[in-house]
Amino acid sequence: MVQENDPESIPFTWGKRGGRGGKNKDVQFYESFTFDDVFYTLYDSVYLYKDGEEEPYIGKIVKIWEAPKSLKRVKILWFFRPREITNHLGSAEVAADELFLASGVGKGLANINPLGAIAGKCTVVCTSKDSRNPQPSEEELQIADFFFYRTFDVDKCMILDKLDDKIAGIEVKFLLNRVDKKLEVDQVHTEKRAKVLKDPGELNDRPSKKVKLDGSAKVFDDGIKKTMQKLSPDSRASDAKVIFRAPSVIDDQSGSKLLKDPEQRGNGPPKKLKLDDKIAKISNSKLSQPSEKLSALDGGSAICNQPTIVSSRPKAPWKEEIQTGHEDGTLVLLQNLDPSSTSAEVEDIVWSAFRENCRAKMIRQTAFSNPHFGQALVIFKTREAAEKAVKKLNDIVLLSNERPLVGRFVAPALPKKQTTFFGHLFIDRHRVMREMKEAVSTSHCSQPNTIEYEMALEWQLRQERSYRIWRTLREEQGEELRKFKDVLKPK
Amino acid sequence: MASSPTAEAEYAAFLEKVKRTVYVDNLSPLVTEAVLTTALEQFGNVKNVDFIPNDLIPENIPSCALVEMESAEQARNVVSTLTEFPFMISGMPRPVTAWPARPEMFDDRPAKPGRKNVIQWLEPGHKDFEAAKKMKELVQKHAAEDAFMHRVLLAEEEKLSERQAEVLKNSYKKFDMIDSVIDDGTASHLARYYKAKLPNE
Repeated sequence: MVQENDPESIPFTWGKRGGRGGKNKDVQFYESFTFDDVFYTLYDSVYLYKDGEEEPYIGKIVKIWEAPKSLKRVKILWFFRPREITNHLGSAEVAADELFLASGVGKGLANINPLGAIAGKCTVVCTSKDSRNPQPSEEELQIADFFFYRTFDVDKCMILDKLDDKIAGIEVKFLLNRVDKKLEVDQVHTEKRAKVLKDPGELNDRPSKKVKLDGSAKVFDDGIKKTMQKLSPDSRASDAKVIFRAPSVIDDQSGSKLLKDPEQRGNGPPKKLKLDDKIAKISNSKLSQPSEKLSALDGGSAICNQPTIVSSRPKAPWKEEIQTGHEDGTLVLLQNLDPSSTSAEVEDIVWSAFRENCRAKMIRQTAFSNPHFGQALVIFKTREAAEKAVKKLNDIVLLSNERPLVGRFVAPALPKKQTTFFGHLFIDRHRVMREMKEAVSTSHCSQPNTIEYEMALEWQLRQERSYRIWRTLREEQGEELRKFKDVLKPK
Repeated sequence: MASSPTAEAEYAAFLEKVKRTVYVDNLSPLVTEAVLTTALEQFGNVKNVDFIPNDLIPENIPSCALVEMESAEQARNVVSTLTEFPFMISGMPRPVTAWPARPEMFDDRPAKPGRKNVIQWLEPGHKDFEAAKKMKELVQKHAAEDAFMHRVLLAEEEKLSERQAEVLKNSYKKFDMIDSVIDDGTASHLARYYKAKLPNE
């Protein structure tokens, strides 16, 4: 990853301020901003890119705010492309550049995204004959990238011709074409309008040149790790705890548990709580693309989209789980953790760093484990999530309590039937066998007048030697680590 | 994480448990919970046996376990006895070893109260980035060293085991021969010939 991708290098300024909100009045709302030399205001239509998707998503900015620690967020009300809702179009005729505004209540309507995910402006005009909609001019129709006049109800999965009075809690008049002079009391809006009128090319700002920008926009997105789904408002505050280059405090267990099951707190349909991931996926596939859209911008942190019962732990033994995880490509070994971390803390660290839910277990130390670092096996929900996390850990650095974490895929040690154990000897003669068996099966201290005793001393010598070898190795390793620890210590 | 009195108490209780617990290593994979319990009952009351699984090291390393005794006193007794004398469980002559347990050996231990976990992403260009990256490499090097050392020591153990097996076989042959010459009368015959006296005649 090159330095030019530094998110801070993308020019950004806030525009007109709005009110304040949030639990501690620590959220500042805005009505406009300039990002990468493009001026955006509320209710602008924008492109949002998702890595790996050919086509950008399109949505309307319906809320802009800065959460604590300068986390910039936008709430996006989505447009659906016809191909995203093919299953529900029925016999309706659709134009290639027609979009459907999301409506109703449910998944796929709107969600919260990092501001940096915006890849460019998109011109969408409303051609609805609705009396509330100022009719677009010929010129406007020509320069428009897309048009819409119908909505798609995300709950009923139906196309509607009528426009509701409110969509996602926003008066519909804001979502239709803008009435320039009449409604724009707001100075900023007027300014913006003037700018747009002066420079029609701006309106035509197709994503083509923005595609190049995509890389950096993505890094921005990844880097800040603030991809959040539509969660309850207070989860926003905790989301804000992770921030680029500024140490953040990991939510404590109770807090993150709440976060991990947004559906249980949010307004997800209660019956879905009972569903497991698989069923949830099926029910989502009813929505097909629309539901994917929800996960589009955060690289599929499945947990945000699907009801997940956090409390019910999988029953499969851990050995089997890691074996399955290994086969699925979701098993990752995290190294250089604080040795005293607990499994739950590791899950929290993964959550805070990647916004991924996972199963984690610290590798229990033995007398021969490296005491300088802790290791944990982490099973991610999806292979993509695991690959993304490992890649990110390799590309840049994640410090966890001043320790840079190492992540890699590993093969677990197979549970094998051991038949031989070095150091336990047997003599296969029947007569001796019986005596031997009796002697061997009873645990005992060796007596000095036996062959066993002499051999046991050889073993003790060997064990002492191993012990010393390990100790020396550990001391050397500790010495090597010390100089880095001094550097990374918070000043 | 705010350190509530309950978390403190829980952690203190856990540390008490650590003190009562013995870490036992160099166990044969054939050793079961029951065997281990019986073996250590002679030093006190075994409350719990917890084998530490090997999830990562792809070698046939000996198994190890945490054995919780009734008191810290008993645990100390186990450690000192097993350190002083070669102690055999389910086989010989490789003795089992015992150390006081450490908190990191336990599964599902409570989090240390009052500790804050802080994470931070570093991108290239940050002043600590290079140092952090080097440390990452160092950690990987150390992990490789560990894996290598495990293999080397295991190979040495195997060698010792083979050598001892040979010695034991030869010793056994010797005793077997002595037995047979006594049994078939060769020994007494030779004793008469050399006018010597066998001890049991």
